[in-house]
Amino acid sequence: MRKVLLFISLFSILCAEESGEEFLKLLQGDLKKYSQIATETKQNVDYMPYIVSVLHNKELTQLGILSLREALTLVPGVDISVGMAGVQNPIFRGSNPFAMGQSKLIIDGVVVNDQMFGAYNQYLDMPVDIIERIEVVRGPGSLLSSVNAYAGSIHVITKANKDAGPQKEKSIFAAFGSDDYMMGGFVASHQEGDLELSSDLFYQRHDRELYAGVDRFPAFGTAEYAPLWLRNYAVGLNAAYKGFYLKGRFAKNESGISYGQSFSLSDDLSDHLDVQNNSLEVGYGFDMAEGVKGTLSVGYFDEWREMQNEVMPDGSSMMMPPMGMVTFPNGRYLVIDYAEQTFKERFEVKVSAVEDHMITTGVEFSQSRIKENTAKVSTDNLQTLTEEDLLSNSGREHASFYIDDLIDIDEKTSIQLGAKFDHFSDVKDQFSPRFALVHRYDDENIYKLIYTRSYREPSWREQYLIGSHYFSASEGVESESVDAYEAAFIHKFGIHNDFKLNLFYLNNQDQIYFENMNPRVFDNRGDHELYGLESELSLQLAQGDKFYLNYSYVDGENVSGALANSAQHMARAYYIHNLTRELSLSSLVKYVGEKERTQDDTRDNVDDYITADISAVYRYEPEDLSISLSVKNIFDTTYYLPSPDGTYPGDFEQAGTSFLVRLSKGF
Amino acid sequence: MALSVDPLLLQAQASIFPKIMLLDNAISNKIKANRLVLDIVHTDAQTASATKLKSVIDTEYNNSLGDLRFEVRLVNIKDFGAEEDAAAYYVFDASLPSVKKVVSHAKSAQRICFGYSYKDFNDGILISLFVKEKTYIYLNKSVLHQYAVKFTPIFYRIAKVIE
Repeated sequence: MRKVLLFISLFSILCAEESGEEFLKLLQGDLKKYSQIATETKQNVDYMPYIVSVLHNKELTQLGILSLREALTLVPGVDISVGMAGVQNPIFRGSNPFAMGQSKLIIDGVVVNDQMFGAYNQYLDMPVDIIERIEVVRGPGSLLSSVNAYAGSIHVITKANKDAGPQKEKSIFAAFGSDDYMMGGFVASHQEGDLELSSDLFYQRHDRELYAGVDRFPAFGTAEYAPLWLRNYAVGLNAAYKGFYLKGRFAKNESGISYGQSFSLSDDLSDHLDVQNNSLEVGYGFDMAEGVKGTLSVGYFDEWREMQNEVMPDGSSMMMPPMGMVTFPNGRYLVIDYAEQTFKERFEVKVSAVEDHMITTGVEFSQSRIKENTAKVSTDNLQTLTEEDLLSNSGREHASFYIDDLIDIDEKTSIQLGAKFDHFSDVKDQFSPRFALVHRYDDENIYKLIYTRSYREPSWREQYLIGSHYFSASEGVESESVDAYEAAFIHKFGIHNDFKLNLFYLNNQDQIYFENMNPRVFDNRGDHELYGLESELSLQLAQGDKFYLNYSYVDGENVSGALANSAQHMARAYYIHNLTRELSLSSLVKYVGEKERTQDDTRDNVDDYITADISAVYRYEPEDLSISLSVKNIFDTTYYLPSPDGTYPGDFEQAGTSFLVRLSKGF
Repeated sequence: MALSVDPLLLQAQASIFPKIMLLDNAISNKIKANRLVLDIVHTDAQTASATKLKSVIDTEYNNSLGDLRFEVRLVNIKDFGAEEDAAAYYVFDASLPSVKKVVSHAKSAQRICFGYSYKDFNDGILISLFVKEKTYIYLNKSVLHQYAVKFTPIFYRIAKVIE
């Protein structure tokens, strides 16, 4: 109403031939508003000083993509590795495939990496049905000034917490498919005056198992299949009232123990891994002055892990100093009860009042504690359990100060200068500078240069693990760090067509990984360089059809003397064909090149492979109803992900052909 | 098949283009029956996008622009004729042969012709809007004299002139 009245008075001003300064401000405000929306929703990311891939729900659904993990395999330079207990971990640009925390996962602005592993793999099964878009930054840094990543960062914006833009979605969805897969859930929202509420919920399950073959105890045990079953649910709750906001997510993952905690295939079908995560952030945003906005927030994150696993089969032996070689006639069980908590407090200020500057600065404090810290060992089929601590340390304090400034030098050129200082209670302080330049030669040709220094602090597993386990820790292990140099070129031809090329050089220092000897100790193992390129071509064709192709190349070393467990060449391509307004067909092809081994691993390289998926989506717009059918790996290609040396000699065979039917209804 | 448009760009254009109409010095001569009319001229394939654009404008402006009534009309290109009397026109793709008559008519009638894409400046549209690191109003200088539209000075302070 105020705007309308202003309009009337402004119109009168114009008719009276006055300067119309107020009208000019109104127009400038509109232009700024849409610039901000474009920046927040990453729709202008090509013109900004980042290298970002943005995956939208609509396209992911048309391609039959089910989960966050599957969506990440579309990003150039990103591959998936399999570690202990079948944990799947995204690898960016081949960087340290044995570390779990080299990338950060941020869901609706909340970092969900844990302290124990630095990992977030339990969130990777999140269905795309609750996801609005995924923003993937390749390289260090992230889209949030308060977060530093190492090899990359993944920002998930859920539909329930969608930022400025169209009305929030209300929908229900369901799916079923191979391996008795079933999934159902909803996204809901409600607005009453200034109060906005939104929520999402899903439950999914399957009974998948994969042929595993011989494990690291070839003469013992009878199991042949790795149990990958899953029971997973999560609830997201969001509320906003004027400047106040609340974001909460509660998730539980129960799964089979897969390839085993210690890479031994268990004969006990009751073995399992349960992970529960709860996160809550409450904040208040307020105007401190014109063009200066402050946000104060407090956050809480916890993780509860319960695991039961027969880590050594009946009759197997292991070296246990000082006793020597010990045989376990009834095998050896490991039962873990672990829980951690982190509290965070942050105060951040965004300054847009200075012309041609966008300054973000803030301080953040976090306190992480172990709540449960028990490893129980049984050598008599769980009749008796010997309890010991899992980790030697009980906590970590962290404080950081950060500042960055996005400066418009002129209409064509912007630079970003950033710095972050981190202080830890148990590892060395870190300073992370960033410099980025983007030059918009014209609206069709954009050049970018980026330098970032970043680090990854050791996970608690790498630093504090005690007792006789498959891995051992090194309390003196230091953070690994990277100096990343990147150059990018984007050529736009047409509104929706573009070609992107970026080159990177990563100087990784003090990399943390284990060497395959007994004990397998995590330690700083040396410096390694990686370099390569990523390219993408995106075309919008007649009738709204879309073609996309990416190719990535990486070379150098990620461990001593080798580029291990990482493909030098990868490519992805898809075509979405709109047969009619209601019906679309798509095909998705992925190529992952041959992978080398570590220097001491005498096995042949892991073979390259190509997989192809097809999907059909029918959408009935009047009822906002859609149904899709997808067939994954239609040619039933047999392919493998690499296993660590001395574990599964035949590597980890992946799934063959599978199908998925998905339904959704909007309201 | 339906035209694929950027929802954010459409929303920004819906919000800003009507205000630009008020910066036409001769706007009072283009009012008919106390109404200011914006015609969205579309092909069959562009109907959904045109409807969406009209809906966003109607929601923001509620049929009034200042103390004038403001009407947004959807006009199929097949029905477009020389008798059209809107204060301004909007087209999605001026490169289409069927749409060229809209641009010609706008020029001869000294009416603003807005375009979805500034790429159509070669096809004679006068004003467009583009969202990149900032949002820009683009003015097609090469055809400005053909339209003979004069804007108030503040428009030239905010529009980016494209040669």
